[in-house]
Amino acid sequence: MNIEATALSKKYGHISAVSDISFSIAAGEFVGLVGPNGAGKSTTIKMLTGQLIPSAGCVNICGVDMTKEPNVGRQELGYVPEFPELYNYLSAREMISFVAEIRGRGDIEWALELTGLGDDADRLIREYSQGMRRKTAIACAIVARPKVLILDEALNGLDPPSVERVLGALDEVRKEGTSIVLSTHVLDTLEKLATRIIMLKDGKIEHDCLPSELSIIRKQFQ
Amino acid sequence: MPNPYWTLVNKERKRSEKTWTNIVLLVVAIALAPFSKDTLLYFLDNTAQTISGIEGLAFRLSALVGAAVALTSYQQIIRTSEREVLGSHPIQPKLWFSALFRKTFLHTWIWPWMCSALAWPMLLHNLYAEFGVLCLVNLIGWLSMLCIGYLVHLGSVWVARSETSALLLDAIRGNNPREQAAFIYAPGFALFFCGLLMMLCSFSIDGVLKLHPPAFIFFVLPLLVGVISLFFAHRLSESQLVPASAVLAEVDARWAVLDETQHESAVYLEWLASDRKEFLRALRQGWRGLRIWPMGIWGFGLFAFVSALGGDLRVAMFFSSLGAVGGCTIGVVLSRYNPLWLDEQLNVQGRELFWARFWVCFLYAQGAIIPIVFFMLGPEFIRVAIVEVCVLIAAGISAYLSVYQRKHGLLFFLPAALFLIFLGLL
Repeated sequence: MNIEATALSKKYGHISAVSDISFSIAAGEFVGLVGPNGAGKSTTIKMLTGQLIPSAGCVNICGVDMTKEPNVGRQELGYVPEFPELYNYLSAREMISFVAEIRGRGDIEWALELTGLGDDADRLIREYSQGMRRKTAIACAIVARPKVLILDEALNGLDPPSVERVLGALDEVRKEGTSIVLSTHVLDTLEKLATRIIMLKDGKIEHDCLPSELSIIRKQFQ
Repeated sequence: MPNPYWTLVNKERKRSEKTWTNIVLLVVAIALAPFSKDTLLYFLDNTAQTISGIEGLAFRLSALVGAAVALTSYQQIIRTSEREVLGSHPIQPKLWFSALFRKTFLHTWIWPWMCSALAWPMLLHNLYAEFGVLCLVNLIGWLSMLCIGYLVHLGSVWVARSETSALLLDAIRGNNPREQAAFIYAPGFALFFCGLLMMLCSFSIDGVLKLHPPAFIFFVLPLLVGVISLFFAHRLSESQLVPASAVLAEVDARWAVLDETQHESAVYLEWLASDRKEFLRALRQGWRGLRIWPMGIWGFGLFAFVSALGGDLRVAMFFSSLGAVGGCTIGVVLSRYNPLWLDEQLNVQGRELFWARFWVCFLYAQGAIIPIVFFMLGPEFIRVAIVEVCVLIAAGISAYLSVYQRKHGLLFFLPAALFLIFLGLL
């Protein structure tokens, strides 16, 4: 399993953001993480990526315990946060090259091509629109072809053609064996590509089902 | 192999807009130094007090540089905005540490020279060697604090993560999240430790000038401690630099929970706003977004109080004036958190904004003045009144610049503030 979350919980004082959730994600799986606002999606993702220390339980990414060795685990992890931060004084090409350099590997042209940044790759990021910044963050996440890719609301702010392009890129890396977790509110997106849906509610797993059962989740949202 | 993080720092330096703030401050310090004869350089006209005056001045200036470097190094290594960018990637901690250290070095190297510039009139009194040694003390204070600060801040991450220190942190944290307690007390500890070292260094100036060998040991002691600290900080970076991000996320998340339950009346001075909306907005922004400012002003007030309690009213006035007039900078800073388009959308009038920020500056500044008023009753009260007038002017300038000169407000305000600080001390 590329991702293994076991009895994961996160508490802030008496407030429980995530309670005792467990799941595993295999190579080549595309998992949609859905749920209403405040369901615990972002907290779960932050624990998966080692950004937040769980109050209980553990997370393994490709066999590495993220609570103990987040820096090692990130070697095989690409992550796009909800609000990606980038070096504004670099161009997208320089930013992606930098990521490839610190990761020790990476196909820069492939990442640029896949995310459709080609023509704008040499402009400084500070001149970019929100959508282009997000595409740059996605390119940074995939450039080293990690075994696990986690995206938190990564499609927000993208125009429909860009969404199509990015989804196409994600599908391509999934077919190469990458495990993908995409947190989103747009259920239609998942219908096309996801191989599994996990719905969180009040910090717990409400449903863990196939995309064909999305209608149940839609009803929950309504 | 070149350090990729350092390559980034160089690119940032080349591509960022050049800022002249440091140079302007240096020039202003040189220009204002002759006016500080009655306060900082009082010993020039009293040969019996020359050496003790120089030693005292060296200690204060080096402590000031040290304090500024301690806060900056915390900002650079712990709260660096790069964590947001690099947090999703594997990091090579020692290379990143090296780049961050060099970045802080380049950012702050001019500070000891700024402080030394305040004492240049010593040269007019043929105190060449003394001035040279004073410059050296400031340099030692800066460099040692840079190194010690890095070790203490990384050490605070270790303490925040350590199970064994949990009980101690819980005992001292007050309303703060446990991990935050380590970060709050770390700069204080660094400052205290550095203060002791700089005291030894500064008060060995007389011995150094008389070429007494033991004095040289105390003189270079902070530097030696600094070098050793840097060695250990470099080693500690391997295990603590990356996990600091998770500790900070924990602290921020807990603050968010605390903020949600915080009552509206918890905003400092909010009761004064009544139905004045802009004033209320400025107070809330100041307290919730820029709390370090009012708390920093209280810190200066505390220093002033302690100095006055010890009978040194001159030093008390210095801290009070520095905190009160310097604290008025918050007016300019507020405009950065309050974009023009938002004010236009809310249809806020410039005059309303001006008065709101003016009152915030003036009222916050009282935190550095009120603690010494009790000691200045009688004929000395005129000195407090002069500082109050300087604060009124500074608050007015800061509020004006925050409304009508948003982009370069800070550049114009800082020289004016320095001038007013010295005016208040005359």
